[in-house]
Amino acid sequence: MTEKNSIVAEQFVDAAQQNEATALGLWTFIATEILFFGGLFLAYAIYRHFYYHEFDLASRRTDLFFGTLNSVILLTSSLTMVLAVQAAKRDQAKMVVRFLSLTIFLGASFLVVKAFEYHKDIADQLVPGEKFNAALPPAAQLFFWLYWAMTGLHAIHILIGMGLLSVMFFLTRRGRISAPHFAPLELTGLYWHFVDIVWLFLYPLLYLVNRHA
Amino acid sequence: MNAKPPTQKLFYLIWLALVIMHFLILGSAYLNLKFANTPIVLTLAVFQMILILLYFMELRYRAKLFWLFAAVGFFWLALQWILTASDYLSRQWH
Repeated sequence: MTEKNSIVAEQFVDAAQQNEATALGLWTFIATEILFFGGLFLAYAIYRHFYYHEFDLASRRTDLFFGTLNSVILLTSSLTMVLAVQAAKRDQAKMVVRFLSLTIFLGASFLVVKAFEYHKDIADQLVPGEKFNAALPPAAQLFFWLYWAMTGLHAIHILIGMGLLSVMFFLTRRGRISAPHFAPLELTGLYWHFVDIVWLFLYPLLYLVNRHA
Repeated sequence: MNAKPPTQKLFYLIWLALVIMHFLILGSAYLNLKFANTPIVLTLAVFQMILILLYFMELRYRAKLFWLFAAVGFFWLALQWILTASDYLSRQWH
């Protein structure tokens, strides 16, 4: 087995075929993730239908500044992610490391902003339970139950993504990510973009309900 | 491969379009469009998603098999939503 072929598993003809197969596998995983978050979006739609007024009042208690800032951070991180993958395809390891560092930094920034936001939410008594903000109707807790569950699960996905990005960072530095062996980085990118897409829907549904009122 | 490989500039342009759409979403939320507010912001979010799927996730440059796998996820999602919603909306749960 030659050096070049050692990264290609024996069931594949070449790296291109392996890249294609693994990417297809990740798209299958994304289909399951669509259903995973889909269940929560469905719960949101049903409860918002039944408790429209309560969702309206509750949504206006979320922090629009933090939410908007985090959206721009994530969109930008998707740009740096795709640029890292493109650099890997051109075999520019230094650029890959640079763009990966930026993506990790933006992911960490997202989590820091989220931590500040959660801190403010807790201080505003927006956690469902006995100490829930008395100024809001009881059914507003349904909104905040979904808010914490959806943003929390999303943040866990960001954390996992950052773990994967860190592994890619070290693999690239060790020369293990290069054309044509960039599949692990490409798969990490697909996952990262998917997590970004989830946020694109969380943002209007959690932060922008009846803001004009 | 179904299309010419993307250029670096294209990715920056897609990012710019995504950010502009993001602020359109934010701005439209402050206009009183009655029941149209949510459909409008969600439509813009869908456009953002399509840009990310096509360019950042490179579906545009992939074989049709990838399009099928991506579509299947959304097809299952439609089944999940339609069947559950038909139950909730056709019975007196509330």
